[in-house]
Order: sequence, then C-alpha cells, then structure tokens
Amino acid sequence: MTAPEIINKVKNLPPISQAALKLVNLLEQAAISNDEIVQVIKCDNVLTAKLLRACNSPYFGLDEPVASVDQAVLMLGHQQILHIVLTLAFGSAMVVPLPGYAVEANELWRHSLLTATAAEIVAADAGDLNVDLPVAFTVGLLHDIGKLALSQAITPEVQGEIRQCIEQQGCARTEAETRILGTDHAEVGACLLKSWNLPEEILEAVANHHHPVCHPRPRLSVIAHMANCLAHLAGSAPGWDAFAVRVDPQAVAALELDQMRLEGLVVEVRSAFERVDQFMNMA
Amino acid sequence: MLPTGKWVIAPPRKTLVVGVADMVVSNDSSAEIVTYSLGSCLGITIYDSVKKIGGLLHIMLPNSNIDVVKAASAPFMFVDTGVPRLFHAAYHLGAERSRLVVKVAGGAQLLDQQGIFNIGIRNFDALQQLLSQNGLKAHATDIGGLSSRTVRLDLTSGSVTVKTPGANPYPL
Repeated sequence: MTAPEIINKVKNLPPISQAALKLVNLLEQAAISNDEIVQVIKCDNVLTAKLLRACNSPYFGLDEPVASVDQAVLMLGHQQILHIVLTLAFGSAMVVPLPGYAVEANELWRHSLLTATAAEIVAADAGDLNVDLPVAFTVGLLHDIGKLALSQAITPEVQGEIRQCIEQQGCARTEAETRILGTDHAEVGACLLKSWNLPEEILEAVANHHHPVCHPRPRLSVIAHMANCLAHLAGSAPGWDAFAVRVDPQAVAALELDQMRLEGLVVEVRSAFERVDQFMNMA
Repeated sequence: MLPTGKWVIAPPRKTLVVGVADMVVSNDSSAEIVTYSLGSCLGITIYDSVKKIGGLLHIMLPNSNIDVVKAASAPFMFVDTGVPRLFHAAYHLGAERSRLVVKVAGGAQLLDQQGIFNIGIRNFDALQQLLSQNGLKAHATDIGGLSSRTVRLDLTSGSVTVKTPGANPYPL
C-alpha cells in the first residue's frame, strides 16, 4: 500500500479547524502580525470560544477577563496564542486511543505535546539552524499524526506481523512498517498534512522524522527526530515496542550532542513539559 | 433481587499514583502504588513484608550532577538523590532495612549504536552501584527492551506486577 492509498482508505479522520490549518500556513512567513492572527482565528466561532475560555482559565491568571480575540493576542502575546490555538485544534483529534498501536486515549496527545515542547528546546539550542520556534512546536505536535490513519487502516494480523518483524529482526518500527506495508506512519502523516495544504517545510519534517535529512544542510526533520527521541527519554513513549526507534548518528553530530548535553536536555524538556501539561486538559 | 441481612461492599481499593520523577511510600496495607509509562526511566519498589510498608520511586536519570539546581527541587528525578530518600521514608514509617525487598523495572532502550541514548542502562548501572555500596541488592529486575512499562506494588502482599502495552501483566 502507498501512503495516499492508506489516507483514502481511512474514512473517519477527525475534522481539523480550517482556521488552525491557515494559521500553520502563516508560520511560513518571515513575520506574522497580531492582526493577521486575529483575522484568521475570528473566522472560526468554535475555536474563538474555546480560545477565550482557555485564556480566561486560572492558569493564565489574568486580572480582567478577556472578551475578544484581539484582547487575547494583546494580553498573552502571539506565541502563547499560537500554542493555545494549535493545541485546541489538533488536541481533540489526537486524544483518541489507537488500538493498532496499543496506545490508550490521551497517550498520543501527551507524546505529541511533549515532542512539541522538546522541539522548541532543541531548536532554540541549535540556533544556527535558524528554525522558528512556533514551526518547531507545530512539527512536534504533528509528527505522529500518521499513526491516527495507520492505526485504522491495518488489521490486527498485520500489526502482529509488524511486531514480529521488530522483535525478531531487531529493526525499527518504521523499517518494519515499510517492509510489511510498503509505507510507514511518517510518510502517511506527511501525506495527510499535504492533503490539508500545509507548508512543505512541515511536510519534510514529519515525513523524515525517523530518517532526518542532514545534507547538504540539516533540515527541520533533524529537530523533529531529536525531539521525538527526547520525548521517549522524558517520560512519554506510548504503545508497544515504542522504543523501536533508531537514533540517527548524523543528526546527533549535527546537533553536537554528547551524553552530558543529552541528559541536560532531558531535564529541560521534562521541566518545560510540566509547565505546559495543563494544555493536556484543553484539548 | 438484593440479598437480605447485613451486607457490606468493600470500598474501592486505594491506588496511590507515582508521577514521573516522583515517589510514594506508605504503610496503608490496603492500598496499591502504581507508576505509569516507565520508558528509559526506572521504577524501584521496596517492601517490608512484616510491617507491610512499601514504596515506589520513578527516576529518570542516573546522576544529579548534571543539574544540581533541579536536583534540589526535584530530587526524585535522579538515582543518587532519589533512592536514599525512598529508603529513608520507609525507615521513617518503621520498615527494617534487613527485611526490605528491592525490585526494579524499566530502562527501555532506543536503538542507538553510539550508546549516547542508553540512559536506561546507565540508570540501572547507577542504581546497582549505589545499592552495592550500601550492602543492598535488587532481588528481582526487568530491565531493557523496547516497551514502556506500568509497575504496581500491592501493599497487602508485596507483590509487584509489570505490564507493557497490549500485553497481560506479569509478576516480578
């Protein structure tokens, strides 16, 4: 099966807010103005209502209640608003259980949020790669979205074959998926995001998050790859054989990681995640 | 039809949940202690079967010297700062060192030829070293592999069970 065939086979993928997808497209621009963000969000009533409710939650501790999107962007700043909107828009799609991977409800979402948090930290740490932090966050959030589709498309027998391949031959999950299905969850994810018209940069990172592109220059997939590995070490690796992930030595070299630095990053990621953990409940 | 006479339904069993970089020690013999999603982290249980006192610690990293500030606010994140606290809390409740049974599960490993990411094994090595320096040892272990684990310590019996996603629980 090819990735587009799998996407076509899956009928009931959760709907995603068009406004949120438009917002992800805006991330491609060099700079986004508050006005642009406000205009996009305002087009979606449900998203607007959820955003205002989130902004008025005790977590943000605002002195006065926020009554409009304009006010919300002004009070919290657009990076914070992007975090909240993306979380609201994609979270509800990702809180579902994935029986094909033995992933329970909320676990994929927790892993995605933790990876998004890690991606921002890795991107900030690798300043010379010039990755925008909101783009890194988005990629982390969406990197495993292919599992939503793949989980529905494969039968328990095929899952069993994939699992056997991992356990008997010691291969990575994506390698096993490719051998048995002809495609893997990363490719399926990128294909799904392409059907939503998301920017090329994000498609590259999702498609290659297990095989990051380091040459001629490291691309966004290097950040996605490392963020995913870090999320595994920082407390979220849902589903069976979740550690069947091959660490790419070139990505490790590109980010100049050693044992000490890696452990430092694990602490940073975990600490930052404890601060964003409340987003879990917003979805 | 409801049975006649005096009948009492037991209250639901108390479950004490241990988060990541967290610890629970208890002498409530009717409870169980559980920790979820141990990946490369380690779940370390101790149990005194006479006093029915037990504890469960969920550590993430081997050594606190990478971030001493963090270690001060989150000592249960590291083997060297977490494990002594686990034992001391159990002693404080009346557990006897000589009776404590130590069991360890977790330490899953990513596929990394360079070994930089083998934090699971480094966690276990650090624990083994700390235990042996103090004349202690792990009585049962379930370390490594590719799946996350959920670990439960039953404070009534001291039994420890391990579960991986999509599989049945097994005793440790």
